[in-house]
Amino acid sequence: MTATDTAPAAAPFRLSGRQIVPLLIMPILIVNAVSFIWPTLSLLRMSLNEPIAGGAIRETLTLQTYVSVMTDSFYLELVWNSVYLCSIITAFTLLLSYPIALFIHRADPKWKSLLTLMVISPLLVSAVVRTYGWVIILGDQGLINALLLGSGLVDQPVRLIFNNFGVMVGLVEILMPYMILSLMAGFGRLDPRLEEAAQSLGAKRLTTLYRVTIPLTAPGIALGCLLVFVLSISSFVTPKLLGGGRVFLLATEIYDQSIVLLNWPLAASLSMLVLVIFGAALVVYSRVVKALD
Amino acid sequence: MLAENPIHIANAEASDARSEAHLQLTHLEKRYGDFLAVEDLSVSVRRGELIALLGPSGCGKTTTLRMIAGLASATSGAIRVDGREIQTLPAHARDMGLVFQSYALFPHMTVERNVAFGLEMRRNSKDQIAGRVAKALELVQLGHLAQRRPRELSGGQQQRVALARALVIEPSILLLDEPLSNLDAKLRDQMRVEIRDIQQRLGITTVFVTHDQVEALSMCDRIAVMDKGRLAQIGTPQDIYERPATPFVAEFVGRINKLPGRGTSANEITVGDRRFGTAGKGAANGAVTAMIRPHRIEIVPRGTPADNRNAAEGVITRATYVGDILEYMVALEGGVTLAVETATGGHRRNFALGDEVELRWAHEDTLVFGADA
Repeated sequence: MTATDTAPAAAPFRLSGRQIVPLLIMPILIVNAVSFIWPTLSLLRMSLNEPIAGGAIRETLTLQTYVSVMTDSFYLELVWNSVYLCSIITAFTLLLSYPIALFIHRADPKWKSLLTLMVISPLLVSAVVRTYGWVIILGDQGLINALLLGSGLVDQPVRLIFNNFGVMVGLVEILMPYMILSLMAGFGRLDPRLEEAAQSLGAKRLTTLYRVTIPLTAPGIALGCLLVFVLSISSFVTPKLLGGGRVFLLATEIYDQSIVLLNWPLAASLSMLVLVIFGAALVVYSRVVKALD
Repeated sequence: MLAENPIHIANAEASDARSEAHLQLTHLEKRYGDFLAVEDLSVSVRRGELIALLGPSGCGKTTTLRMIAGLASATSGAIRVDGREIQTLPAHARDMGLVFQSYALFPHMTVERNVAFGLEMRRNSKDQIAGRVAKALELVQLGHLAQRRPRELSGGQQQRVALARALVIEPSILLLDEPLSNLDAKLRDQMRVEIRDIQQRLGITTVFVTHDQVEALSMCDRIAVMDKGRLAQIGTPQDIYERPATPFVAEFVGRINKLPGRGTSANEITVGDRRFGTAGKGAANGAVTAMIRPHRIEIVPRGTPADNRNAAEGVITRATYVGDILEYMVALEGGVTLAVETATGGHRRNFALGDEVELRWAHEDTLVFGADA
């Protein structure tokens, strides 16, 4: 090749790899800007307005709603309740999902896809329908109470819904597919030889589980917990229907404030609070992942 | 020795072993559906012996090892350690040191924690664990890497950690599953010597699974060659190499020439119109296959005075220089071609393509098997 040839031929519509990256990211950036960033900013703006009794709003810049949220013990308890209940829901979802995920991971490859499909299939039915299903099962005239009354174990129907228990049952069941899929995604490092090595070194099954299996699957556990926690704290339909107005959570309160009481600035500031909780969950998650590595 | 022990006399199978049997497999069988992975396998391993389970992939050698370790259950048969059946014991109670082909080091633990794992399971005291881990790492010359993670180590180093982890618990039996197959050739040679050295120093009974005949021949006291789930032959490396029991064994443990012929007496066969003396245990009368190792054949110029060996005239059709050896292909009259290997060296005469030569080899190097080989 001669020296004059070394300049690349001009290609008018060729982009280098470096140039093409922003172009490929652009669509999702636009979607995010329109559907997430802009609404979030308008929520932020709304939270700085002043509510007037009767549902009117005065456009201004005040931290009044934040002050009232931070000083009112009702809202503080609401935040605490939400975080607490959703943490318990996350823990139970993990506890129930882990054996299933492990079972599917170890299953014969020819059954694996069928089993995975069975895990995902509940997602084909809307959460609203599944929640109503739980109302039928857990209600005073529901399946469980009918069994309990019929067997003579109780004389009065046991209250299984319209309380924290009902919300927990419903959310755990609805969120399990997400947890199972996250766990399975994190099981890549789990070489069966490692568990066999542990056994040959004298570890019993349970010891192998908590010394080898669980530490190796911790990244999947962290991911699943983050996902389920975030989904549970932002879920509305299930707590609303299974809580029956007796379980007060952030999502249901935001709904009440914005739709029933028309106090949009307060609803907006509570929404910002949910965002802060998400942020905190993400920080915890990234710390955990870093510590695991 | 055994005869004086009434317990051993009572146990007919235990008394089969002429010397002290440490590990004994009796009529072991493993069936997966219709597939017999291991069939009627009986092997007796002496105390302190290094025995190889040698065979091609799929011959059942790893399955056998897993059954000994308790990671797979036998369909039938017995596995005894010191005369005691161990199949009712789960893997964690069998007291065997196992080294996997992939090493299976715990990626979330340091080298030190990996080695300490087995001792922690045995509830040793902290001081004792620290001391024994340090000693085990010293044994494999890795004391300086105790705080590293497995992924920060080279293949050879990982292999040594796996060995240290298996040895630190002072198992009654060491099981090695193709421990050298993931190493490059040079390191493999080195680890071969090292493992044999450690095994001899500790005097630990060891079962070594491999598909590499060089590893088996160079490291082991005895070799059990397996073929399609069955034991083809068991014996010392010399037995296996010099006196293979079956054509499969003869072909598996090294290169070998095959000559179709007819047996005429117990120690003579004819190939075409040539007569060859044999090792002597051939089946007389009928079609046979004679086998001769390439490096046991000597090439001499035609006209060399006859000696007491088999002789055949031929023409060199290919000569390949491979550094330490020269490989010749020599076409005999009558359409048979023999491979011949000679060591390279100044004092040897090299032959060229097209040279008319004569091949000589000893009677006892002519192995005879049935014709279907």
